[in-house]
Amino acid sequence: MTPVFTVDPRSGVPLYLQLIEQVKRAVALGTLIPGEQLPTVKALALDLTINPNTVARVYRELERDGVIETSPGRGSFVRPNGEPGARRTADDVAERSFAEAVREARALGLQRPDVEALIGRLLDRWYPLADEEPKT
Amino acid sequence: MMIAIQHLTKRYGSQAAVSGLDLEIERGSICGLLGPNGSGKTTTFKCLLGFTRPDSGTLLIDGKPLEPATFERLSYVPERSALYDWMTAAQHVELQRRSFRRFDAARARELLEIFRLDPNKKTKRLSKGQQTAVALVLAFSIRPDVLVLDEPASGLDPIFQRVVMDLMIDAAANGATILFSSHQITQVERAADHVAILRQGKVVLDGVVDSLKSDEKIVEAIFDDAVPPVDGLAHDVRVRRLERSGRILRAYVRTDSDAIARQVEDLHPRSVSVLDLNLEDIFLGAVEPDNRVEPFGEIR
Amino acid sequence: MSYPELLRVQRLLLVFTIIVAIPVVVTVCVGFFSHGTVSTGAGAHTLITSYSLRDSIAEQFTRERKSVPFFALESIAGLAALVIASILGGFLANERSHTPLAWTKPVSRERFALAYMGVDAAGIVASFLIALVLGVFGIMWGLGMIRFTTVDPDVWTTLLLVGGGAFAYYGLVRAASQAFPERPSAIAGASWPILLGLAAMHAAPIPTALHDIIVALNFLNPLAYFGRVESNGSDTGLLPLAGPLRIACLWLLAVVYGAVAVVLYRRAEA
Repeated sequence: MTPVFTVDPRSGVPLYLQLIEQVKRAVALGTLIPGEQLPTVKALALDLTINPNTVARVYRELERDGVIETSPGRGSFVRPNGEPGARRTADDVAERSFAEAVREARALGLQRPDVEALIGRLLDRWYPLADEEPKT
Repeated sequence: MMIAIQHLTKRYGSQAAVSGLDLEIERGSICGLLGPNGSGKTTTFKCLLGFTRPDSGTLLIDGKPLEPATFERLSYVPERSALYDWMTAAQHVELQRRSFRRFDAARARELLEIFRLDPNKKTKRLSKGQQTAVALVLAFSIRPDVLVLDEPASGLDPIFQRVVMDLMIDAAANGATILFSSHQITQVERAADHVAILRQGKVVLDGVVDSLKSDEKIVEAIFDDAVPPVDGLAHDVRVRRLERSGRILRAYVRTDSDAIARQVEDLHPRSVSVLDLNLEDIFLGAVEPDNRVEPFGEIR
Repeated sequence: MSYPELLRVQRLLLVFTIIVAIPVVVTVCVGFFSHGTVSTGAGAHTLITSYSLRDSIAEQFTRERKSVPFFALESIAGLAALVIASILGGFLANERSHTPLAWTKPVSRERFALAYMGVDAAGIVASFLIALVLGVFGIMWGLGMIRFTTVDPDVWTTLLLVGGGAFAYYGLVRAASQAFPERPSAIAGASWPILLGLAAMHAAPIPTALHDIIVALNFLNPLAYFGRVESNGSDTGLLPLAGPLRIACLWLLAVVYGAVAVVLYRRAEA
């Protein structure tokens, strides 16, 4: 089943970037599995009520990034990249979030050691060294 | 280029409604035309459709000047209803059938149903929104390659506004080129890939919506003390406007926000952030640069 | 593309037919069912005979050897067609508020205007036929006068005169309303007093200089072309034009006015 994508046209973030992000996230999370067919440009454009050229651009860039492959006449499919491909995509998505957070921390005036300490705390919480359940 | 408008000028008396307007729209593109009332949107449409003769400029549709045959595949929905008060929706559809070889009867019936229109009701008994809907039925029933829509969602409720956008998206996905004006910026943000912003008869900003959002940013810096001199930035063509007040500096950037942010960082502020602008911010920045109320002291 | 005009003309003709039918029905009722009595003789020998109106008219026509010339009937129908022509003349200018519909059809403006005028011309012909066949003959039949109708050689010249007159009148109103498109119905309405007044002033005792202007203007006035052209050459027209020439000029006038209307329409802007 195709995951539900949502975009916010009122955001200052370009629509195509929002959508690329979401498709990559879906692939990394496994809600889009390798070999799965993506909706056609027209269908996705109508589904999200956004411009078809914007969707076409998303598919082009995803293809360039090796996330999907498009064969003329058949449609676009999630590329069976195997484990390394999925990890790279996951890396990609996570890095963006980190970059955003680090930039925000800097804008707030935190110094490098402050940020390192902060990240350490968060790592301890979500990636505990002992094999215990992460606290929620 | 499916639609090419070059140096269009149209005067009414001594008043120029449009002066030196340039606009090119690629095949398959949806171009949203934004602008305050009286900025020349409707006049541009009238010139493009040959309703009025421009004083100068070139207007090309698919590389050719307008001719009667152009209308075989061009539809226009005017801002105000041009329907015959005493005719029913079905009679208007019949007029379309008699006038266009490309008329698609099944499509017309489908569209009447989509808009929940009673085909046998006279125009004068329809609401403004329903009249707009009839005009849209007529426009889309000939399966046009070019659509010129002046405020195509005016008077429609949010559900039918979405229907209009879906019709536009569907047509564009099938290769149609669409030029539409709107006061609702979100509609342009959704349906259009291309936006042109008009002010006083000129295009002041024109480009791909997503690219404008990527380019146009605010670089905001907060300093520990008063903002240092920023002459270099003030004269940078990439900076649209600069505001400063006390410890805060704001640069409205046309493009290259990262480079500008680095330049601001050289001034050793306490923090620098790059803020995104949505289309409404970009629109307001483009149409009111002169008389916008500045919350901060302006440098230039 | 001239579908709205077709609908308009149909509606106008329907109203016109109803208006024409009313006096016909009244006349037929009166003609057949109203009876008068005639008493002859005196005293106990008085003979009272009942007559219908038809009978009395027939008796009178036969007694006085009267007849109704066909050209007169044509003229009455022609007058009705003239009224319809003046109404139709203002219609194209009404299209102004529908420009976005009218001017986005794949036809040239000239063809568009000609198609409209073609529909109107057909409407004028139809109104003439309705007035003649239903109206005039209906009333004549109701009164039992049809058999007293005489057909003379004037039939064709009269037909050409009323036809040319109606088309020229139509063309004039069309061109005028195209030139001043803000108030087409006012132009159609004002055309009657103006053109009739112009024709009336032709014979009025006015200074020569002014009279010359009036005569010149009357060459452009479709109503000034009316007047009986008889086969024996006698002519009751206002204008100093011999019968056949007058008819030709009237038709020329119709064509010129039509052409002016088309040209003005083509140059119009919205």
